[in-house]
Amino acid sequence: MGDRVAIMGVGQTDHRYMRPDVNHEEMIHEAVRLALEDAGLTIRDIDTVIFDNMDLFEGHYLADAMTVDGAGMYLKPGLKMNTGGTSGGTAVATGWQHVASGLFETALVVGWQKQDASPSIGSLVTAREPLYDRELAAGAVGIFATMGLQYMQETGCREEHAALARVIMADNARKNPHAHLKLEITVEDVLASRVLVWPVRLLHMSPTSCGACALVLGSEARARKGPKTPVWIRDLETAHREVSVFRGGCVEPRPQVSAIEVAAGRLYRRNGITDPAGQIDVWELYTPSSWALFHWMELFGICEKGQAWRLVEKEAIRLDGPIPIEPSGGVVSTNPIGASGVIRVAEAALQIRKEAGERQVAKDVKTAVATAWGAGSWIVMFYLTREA
Amino acid sequence: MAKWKPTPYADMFDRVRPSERFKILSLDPFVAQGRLAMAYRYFAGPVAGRFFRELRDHRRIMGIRCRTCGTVYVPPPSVCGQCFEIPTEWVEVAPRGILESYTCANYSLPVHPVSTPVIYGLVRLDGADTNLIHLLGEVDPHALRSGLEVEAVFKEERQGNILDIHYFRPLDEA
Amino acid sequence: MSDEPLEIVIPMDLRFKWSAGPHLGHFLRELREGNIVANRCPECGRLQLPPTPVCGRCHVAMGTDWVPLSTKGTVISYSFVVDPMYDAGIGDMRPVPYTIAAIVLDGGPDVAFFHRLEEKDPEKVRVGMRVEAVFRPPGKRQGLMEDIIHFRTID
Ligand SMILES: [Zn+2]
Ligand SMILES: [Zn+2]
Repeated sequence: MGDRVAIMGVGQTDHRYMRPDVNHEEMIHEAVRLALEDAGLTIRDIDTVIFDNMDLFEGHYLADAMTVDGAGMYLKPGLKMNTGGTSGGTAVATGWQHVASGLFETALVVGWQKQDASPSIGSLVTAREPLYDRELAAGAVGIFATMGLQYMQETGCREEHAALARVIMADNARKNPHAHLKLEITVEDVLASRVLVWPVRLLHMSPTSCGACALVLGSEARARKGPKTPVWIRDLETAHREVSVFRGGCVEPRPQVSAIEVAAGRLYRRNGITDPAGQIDVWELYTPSSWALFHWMELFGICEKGQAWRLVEKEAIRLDGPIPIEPSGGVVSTNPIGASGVIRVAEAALQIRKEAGERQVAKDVKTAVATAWGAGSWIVMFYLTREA
Repeated sequence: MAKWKPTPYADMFDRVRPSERFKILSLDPFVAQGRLAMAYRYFAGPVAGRFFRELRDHRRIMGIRCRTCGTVYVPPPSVCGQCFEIPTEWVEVAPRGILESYTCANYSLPVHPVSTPVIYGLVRLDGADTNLIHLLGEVDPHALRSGLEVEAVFKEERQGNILDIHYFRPLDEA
Repeated sequence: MSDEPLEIVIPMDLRFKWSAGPHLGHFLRELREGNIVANRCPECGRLQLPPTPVCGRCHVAMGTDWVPLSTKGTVISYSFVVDPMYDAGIGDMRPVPYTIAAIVLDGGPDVAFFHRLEEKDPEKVRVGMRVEAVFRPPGKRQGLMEDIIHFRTID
């Protein structure tokens, strides 16, 4: 391993349902400028730019080429990432690798999506094998429906618990000025909302959002000179599962193999993490539906199998609870997909810097885990710390 | 003015509805033709939006000057790539200029606005520092040369896109 | 001058050719004959449905150890699609409601088959229910998943 890598700057747009006031490049530029300001740098200080979105959502192939100037890529080396829901996570991971390798001292990571361009479900269904199951696929919603149903069948969890998880995330989102949905909702409201694919209701699903998020990553020498407290990306891990489980709608007979469990196991072993719930102070899990939360909590080792709904019932995941999760309001409140993975890392960094404003968790945050998830089986996870 | 609303998706879908989902082209090897029928909307944003509205409403070609490097861009970008500045100084450029270069395509595709020959010109408008690519018309492709003076011919019915300029034609031969 | 957002609508109807390849191709040709077949990993013995060229767990070629499965099976999970959604394959909203299910076919315990159920009544669908594939008549089958209309409940 080469150099240590820190987050020097964080910038994001206010995320909205539509941004008819700007084009792709202008929206991206808002976040890039904020991240550079936060890092106390100019575009000349940036050695490489890692860019991500999913072209199909805007129907715009080579969106990276079209937005070079606004993203600050003009004549700079860089790469474009596109790995579905994990795109933002993959972009941060790539930026981290570029700096950790010692080849670049600074990297700008830019993730964005403008979902006012098309009905996203049309693009999402193309993530399915065309001949075998595209015409049956119910987009991402169907995945969470089968997950939710399976979880209820195997534990004591009821619909109310997923609804409570959603309410807690909404309570956090209302404290986040950047969040898209800032809903004032109760468990009853969630349970009364329209069924999309049972048991997933409208309020359980992430919205389609427009927004961008940028990070400036720097080597230790550079980060120590910056105006902000460096937040260290101590380690990261990725794992991909074979696609056939996805073809089967994310449901397979037991025993299942989870990419999340495999990735988390590797990352925890390398970093001496034996009690994730006790050693990680805050979690930004990429939870596109409140129904996914229980699975994520158990697969990331936050609790024993079948117990996550009990922690939610006790409201242990609130900002002032022992295991704060999704302080930003999460992906269910804000989902500009290509930016979502970057936003998770940005939020974890803000929590460690204690710059999260009203949504700052009560605990003294020294460590955080941020993740990105997608395609039914892909995971990217980051371990962030305050101490180098 | 009535409040602006985006085009509803339902209206957009009507423009892309295919007749069939799959057509089996071969059984062994198994090859199927499928469809991806999507309608997208694109918001031009304030800078390109003004450029196209000026074309549509006033037959004016507008450029924008970067204060740092002084470049007058036509069409106008939101950000000057080399300076990373947001240009704000609008300048009207002439609807005529010099043909810097040209080429002629002897095939055309459904996406092309005209049939063959498709004659392209790279035009440096008077007052601009960058070249605008557009179509040439009322011209014999064999008589083209760099340095020719050309002028914009606007369409009568304009919609707010780059084809509101019908084409550029040589000044002398008009 | 008005300053309403300038919106451009861009319709796209793109056509793609998909080569199913020898493994999925064999599955689809068999489906056309009214059969559901999986292939078996020579190393771990696990079945793959749809058939794949490589076992992801063992990283070995799956080969052609074809295993015919019953068209009857047991539901292990299900859901009800009630909200209409855009389907880019037809350029229109997909008709709802329909019931989707993961079904373990008799003879194929390692894999779930994903399809529609005929039963749309939430009260009548449950995990463990027995179902059977209903195929289109032979002349109407093309080698597509829709050659199976749905799975009907049996007891
Ligand atoms: Zn400039
Ligand atoms: Zn195997």
